[in-house]
Amino acid sequence: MNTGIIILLAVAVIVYAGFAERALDRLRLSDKAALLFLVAMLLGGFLPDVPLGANFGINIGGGLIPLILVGYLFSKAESWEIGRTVLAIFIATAVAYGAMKILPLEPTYNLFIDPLYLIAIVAGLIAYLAGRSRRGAFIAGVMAIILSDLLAFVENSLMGVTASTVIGGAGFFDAVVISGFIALGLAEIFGETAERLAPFFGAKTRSEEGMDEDDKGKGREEEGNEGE
Amino acid sequence: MKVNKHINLLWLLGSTILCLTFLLLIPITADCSAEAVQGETILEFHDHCADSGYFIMKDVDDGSVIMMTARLIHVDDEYITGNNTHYIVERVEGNTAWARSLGDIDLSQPPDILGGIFKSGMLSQLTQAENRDFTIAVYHSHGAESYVPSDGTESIPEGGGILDVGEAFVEALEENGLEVKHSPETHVPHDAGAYNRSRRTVEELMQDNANVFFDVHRDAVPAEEYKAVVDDDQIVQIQFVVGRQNQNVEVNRQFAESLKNATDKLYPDLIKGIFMARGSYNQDITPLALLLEVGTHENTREGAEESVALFADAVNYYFAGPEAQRAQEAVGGTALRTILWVILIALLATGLYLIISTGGIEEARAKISHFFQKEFAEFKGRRRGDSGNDE
Repeated sequence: MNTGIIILLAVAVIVYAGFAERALDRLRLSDKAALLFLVAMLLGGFLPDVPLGANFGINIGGGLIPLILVGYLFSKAESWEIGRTVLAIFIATAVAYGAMKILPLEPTYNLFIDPLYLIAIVAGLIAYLAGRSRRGAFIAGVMAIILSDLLAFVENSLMGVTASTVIGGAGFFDAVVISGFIALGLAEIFGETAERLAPFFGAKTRSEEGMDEDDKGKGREEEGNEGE
Repeated sequence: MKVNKHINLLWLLGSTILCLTFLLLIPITADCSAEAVQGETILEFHDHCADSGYFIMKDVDDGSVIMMTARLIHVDDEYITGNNTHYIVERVEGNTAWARSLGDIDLSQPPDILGGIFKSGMLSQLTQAENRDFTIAVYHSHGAESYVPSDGTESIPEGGGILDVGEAFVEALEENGLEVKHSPETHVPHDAGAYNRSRRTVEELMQDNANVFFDVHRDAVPAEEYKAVVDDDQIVQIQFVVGRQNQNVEVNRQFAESLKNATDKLYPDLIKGIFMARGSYNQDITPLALLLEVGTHENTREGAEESVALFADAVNYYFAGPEAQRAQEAVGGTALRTILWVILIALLATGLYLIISTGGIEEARAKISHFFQKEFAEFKGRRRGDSGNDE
């Protein structure tokens, strides 16, 4: 049983059982839409890749569907959130691409975790810390890997080396999907834990401060347009 | 609000610096405890340990050399030698890993893991052992790797000599009547993202019905380390690498051990050993996956090609020989145990998530209870009208 399938099953169970209500609300996704995206990612991974040029293409489940989800989440984001998320994408991409260059070639050199997950964790961590939103974390987690792949493609082209690049080519097993979900998971765990611990340290919670980016837009919709 | 913006900007800046620091400057404490490397950064460590040499595993009792590898050795890594002596690494000092012998193991007696409970159609389904419905996939995560004496250099980004070794392996497997798929992708640039890129190749090969995967590499240690004499002929040896950081590790290991046992019967000494190393090497995707180190950059490519041709005979013997069913059943039993563990871990992770997201055990319990009551009611058709109001 591979990592992608484990994540898929765990997320599907959590969503189906209604345990991810708050997280999905913050992503502004319904249970049904979330399950639809999960199924589309899984099945899309088994469809043929879409060619986008010589030695370049995109996998439907591992690349196209996550990109559509990213587009949807962007469309639901507030204008002030978009700028910050875009910045997070660039920083996460730079770190992810830099990590691929800096980290030693062989996974045996890793400190405690395989580079596949380390890069995803770093991208997710930056994305969440930068935007402090679930939406931003997922978007940046996915985009950091996609843009790193594009940079690798450009690098090969500049060096005159012929090598195939298929964005999200491993479907649900791909680093794109794994990174997106790890980033979202980190955001959820960090966000929730920070919220729960805040009162113990005498601090106001982010929602009390009006800083919860995920809820901010929703609050505006419900309570009328209150400026930042 | 301006204050908030500044706080967020500082937060963003701080987090980025934190992550970069984590990647660049964190001291290597990964079991390199010798003075020579203590406190080095990743970059310094990489220069020191990898580029300038290789790692040596020694017996902690008598100081004899067990093996050499270009892969970093960590505490708790394991090694099974060509003679089937099992070692576990106790400590690492600089480029030397000290390992203790756990005794000899009998690879011809694969453990009967589940006591025969599941030895039926389920296991056959898992390993597809009954109908010889195997398709072997050969690919190269580091397709630029080359053999200096034959290729003139140790790395060719356009496609190294390792691709030729893969091709020789494929031809020999096909001559044995096995169905084989070969990916000539190089997965360059030659960096830490190579295994992410080869992951896509594995998935493509899986779609092509491949179910046994060999990621063919070469090592980077002195040539003598991979030389052996078989029937008066000098050959280049092959080492199996099993990734310890993947949930299929027990199955991969069982596969490696039983395949080594089969190879030993045909060509003793062809397999140098089995290295259980840190990393996953995409072996989390499928259980019947192995990384092969076919010689080193200092061996000749022609020698490596001859060795993989011999190994192809052993692969055929393993998957279609007289003991194929028994060996593969053991692998299948381990696979089932792995799946049970994974389900248990997934349930624990879901429970943990629920506690964090709801804010406490009581709340989590209430939510689970609500879910089952709702599902049970819907199952019995009592609350059809209420289902839209539950949330």
